[in-house]
Parts: sequence; C-alpha cells; structure tokens
Amino acid sequence: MAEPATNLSRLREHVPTLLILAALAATPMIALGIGDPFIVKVATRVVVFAIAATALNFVVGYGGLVSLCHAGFFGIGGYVVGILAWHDFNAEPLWFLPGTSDLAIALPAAILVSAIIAAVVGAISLRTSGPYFLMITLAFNQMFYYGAIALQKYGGDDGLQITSTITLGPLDVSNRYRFFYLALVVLALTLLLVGRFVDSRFGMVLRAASKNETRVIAVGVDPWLYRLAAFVISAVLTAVAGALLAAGQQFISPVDMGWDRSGDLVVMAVLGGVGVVWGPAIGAAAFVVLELVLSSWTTHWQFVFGLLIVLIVVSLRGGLADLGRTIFSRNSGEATHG
Amino acid sequence: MADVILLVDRLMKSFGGLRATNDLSLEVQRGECHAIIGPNGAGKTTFISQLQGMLAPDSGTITLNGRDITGEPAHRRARLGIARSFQITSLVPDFSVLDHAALAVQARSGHSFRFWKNARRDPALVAPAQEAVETVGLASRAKTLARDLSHGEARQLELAIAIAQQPKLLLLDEPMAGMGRKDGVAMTELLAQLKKDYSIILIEHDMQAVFSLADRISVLVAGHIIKTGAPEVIRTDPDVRAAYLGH
Repeated sequence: MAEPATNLSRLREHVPTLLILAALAATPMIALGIGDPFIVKVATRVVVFAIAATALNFVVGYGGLVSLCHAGFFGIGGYVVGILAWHDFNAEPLWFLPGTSDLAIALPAAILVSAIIAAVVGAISLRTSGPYFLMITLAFNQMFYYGAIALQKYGGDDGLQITSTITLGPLDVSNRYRFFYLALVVLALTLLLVGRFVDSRFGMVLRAASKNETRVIAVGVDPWLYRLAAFVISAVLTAVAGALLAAGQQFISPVDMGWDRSGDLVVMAVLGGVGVVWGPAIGAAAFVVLELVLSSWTTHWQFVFGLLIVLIVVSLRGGLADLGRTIFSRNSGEATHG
Repeated sequence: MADVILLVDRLMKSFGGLRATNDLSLEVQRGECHAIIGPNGAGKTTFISQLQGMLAPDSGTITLNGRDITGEPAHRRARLGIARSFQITSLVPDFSVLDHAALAVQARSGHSFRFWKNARRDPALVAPAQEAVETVGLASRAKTLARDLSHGEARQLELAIAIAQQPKLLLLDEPMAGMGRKDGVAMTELLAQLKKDYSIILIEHDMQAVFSLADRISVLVAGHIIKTGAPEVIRTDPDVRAAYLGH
C-alpha cells in the first residue's frame, strides 16, 4: 500500500492547510514591514473565526447537521474567560472559586462548561432533524443570547470589559503579536484534530449517517451517540475560539453570540467549502476581510457582500476551496473526500 | 426444531385499516435458503422490515437463535446477525464501494469511538472489506464511488455490505430488482454461491431464480403465509396456483 505515489498524494492533502497557516503566520511581518499593527488585529480575528468555522464544519459538512447555536457556544467560551477575569480583577470569588486571568485555567474551564452545555443542548436537539434541528438550535442560541444580556453584574447589554492582564501560565499574552501566534497555534491544532477525526472510524460513521442514516443503522450502528459526540466536540472547539476572541480583544458582549453571528459562521463554512477540512478557514478569512473592506467603502456594504457570496457559492459548488482544489489536486487522480 | 434460526410467531402489523402483516408465522432452518413469494402488495417488504427492525410489529414475536428480538432496535439486530439488502438500493453516494464494505466491517468490530487512526488505511477494516467486495465480483470497482455505479453494480454492492457484516441470517429483498437478463443470471450464480455459507430469506419476483435457489418456499398472500413447502410442492399446489400464479 505504501507506494511512493500514495505517499506523495498524502503529502499533497496537507499542502492547502500548510499554505493557509504559513500565509497567516506571515501577516505580523507584513504588519511590521508596513508599520500597520491593525493588520495583526484583523489577522487575529480571521484566525479566531477560522477556528470556529472549522469546528462548525465538523457537524455541518461532515455530520449534515446545520447548527444555528454555535455563536452561543462561541459566546459561552468568551464569557467564561471574561467572568473569570472579572473575578480576578475584583478579587471576588466566584462562589467558592477564585477568579483567574490565566488562560491555562480559563481555557480548560471554557471547554468544560461548553461541553456540559453542549451535551444537554445536543441531546435534546438531536432528537430532531432537518429544519426542526435548525429551529431548535436557533432557539437555544437565543436562550444563550438573552442569558448573556441578563448578566447585569457582568455588563448585561453593554458587554464585559476585561481589565486584567491575560496570561498563559507564566507567559504574558496581552502583547498583540504574541497573542496572534497563540491563536494560530490553536487553529493549527484544530485543523489537525478535525482532519484526523473526519478520516477516523468515528468520522466514517458520522459522514455515512449524514448521507444515509438507514444504511448505517442496517449495518449495526446507532448514529445518535456519534452525532452527539461530534456536536460536543464541535461546540467545545467553537467555545475555545470565543474564549480567544474575548481574551484577544479584552471584551465580550452579547452581540458576539446573536443568532445572526451563528448564521455568519455557517456562511463562512459554506463560502470556504464544507467538503474539505481547511475550506472554512479560507471562508472565514474571506468573510472577515470582505466585511472590513466593503464596510469601509459603502454603508450599504451588506448588499454587495450578499451579492458576492451568492456569486461565489453559485459558481463554485464546493466554495472557495474548489479554486484551491483545482490547483492542488490536479493530476492526483484521487477522488476528493466528500 | 433443533436447528431453527428464525422463528416468527403470529406477527401482526396494520397501517390504518390495512392489515399488511396478518397472523404471519414462519420457521427458517439454519443453512436453508427460504424464499418468500407472493403477488404485489402481499406485504413482503413490510415483513422484511419487521424482521430487520425498521418497523415494529403490532403483536407477535420474532425469535433469532432462540432469543426473542421483537423489542430490539434495528442496529442491535444487525449486531445479533441480521443483515438486509434493500429492495431500493440504500447507499452513501460519496462513499466508494470499499468504504461501504469497510463500514460494515467496522460496525461489527465493536464501537467506532476511535478518532485518530485513518479508517481507510486500517488493514483490519480494508482486508475483510476487500474480501467481501471480491466475493460479489466488484473488485475492479473497489475505488468507485457509489453514485458512479451502474444499477447492477449497486445491487452487487448491497450484497457485499451484507456479507461484510458476517451475518447469521441474510434478508435479501429483491436482489435482482430492475436487473437485465444477463446481470440477473450472474446474480443467481452469486446467490447460489452464498447459500452454501448463509441462512437466507429471499424475496424475489424472478420465479426462475426462486425455484432454482430456494430450498423451501413460502407463499405470502394478503399478509398471511398460505403455504410453505419444497419448490416442486409449491409449483404444483392448487391453492398457490389459484392465489398467486394465476391459473
């Protein structure tokens, strides 16, 4: 099986991912080169949404489950970091727990909290499918959204400012460049994890069930628990992205978890391409940059934006990744994973 | 009685006012190929669905290898050894032929909460899957996606998946449905091979195939089995001829 040709095509599979990471890794140099630190801020936003969109695609593209509550998980991750930092700054314990501004504690806390909530939300939502799944996840998203607004102690409507200095263990990551690379490492890990998951036994069950549930049951597998696990994994990774957003911009607000933001995440995934693991990362980059460029151009930017998205999705069936795929998988002769 | 693999006792299933399965009792011996024939709408597929577990009967019991499985869901029955090939092909369009068989192998080798190793490069899955694919004669199409298969090939794949499950009982729901003459003959030969290794319940409209393959035949009319017997007995039975063969 290990012919040189297969090894080569295996390597080729990783080229797009490595190119994306390399291009992102170079942005701080460009920012330094032209002396515009704003670029790093944008790049950090791209990376954070790339993590969330990649995570979402695990359930949308591979599980066939279009979730509209992922902004909720994103916000939950952000609020866990923000609330812990608030208690740290105000030196007031959260029940019996001390607050913290250390991501080495706050990130695992965000993972734990989001996993528990996602398990409950998933267990209920996955009783339904299709449009009902869409509606019920949307309802959950709005519960989280209004839940965040109700947190009067933590800013309510106005959002929660992080006033303490965010660290990662002994490392001060409040430096914009350092934080960017931290986020980039998390994106690389996310791409690696999701990439392994979708090709594993778990991934095969998830993918088969998304296209033909009857077949999966007939061979002896109940897809329910696999979908739930995928949902929780996806939610947790999205919460990590939200935690990074909050830590990076020292701020989290209910706006970051509105249902329209859930829609944005789906658009990023579809725009980039749900058929490949690295597609949504490209979609996130295109989304964030387009939003920025167009909104500086015209106040009616959303109209142009919508038009562009329609054009791209209609002309490239597999999203922007199709552009890359025609370049990278030419002559490889191997069928792309669907 | 000692070697009964499947025992169906007074099975009932209604859809509204329609009695699709009406007091159906059946006994399948281990190792036999038991054909079920009957006119269109007799309730053959409904019956198979209840055996597989996709449909729950209103009453009656199904016993597999001495174990009551009436309350077991379909996925657990598959683990207990029931494999079904669907009348209307049920495949995953963007999975290759080999992927399908590998999924069946994977399903019978414990849980699939394994996240790291690439399933398509796992010899423990690929080797048995390859074997099943070869058995049905699809070896040359192993890497072809299901959506690119011809109708006949898709039927063969249905069988490969069932075989890869290493079942104790094969439920074949019209394996030759929609096949041309040539493919049909090839399929009959394949089934003749398979019946050496498996207990089979065969539903088929192609009477030539049924009479050449079946060890015993049951005739299903309006959800009820009116006769069970050897092919030569069934062929000449006056009740059967009246009800089904139309003479």
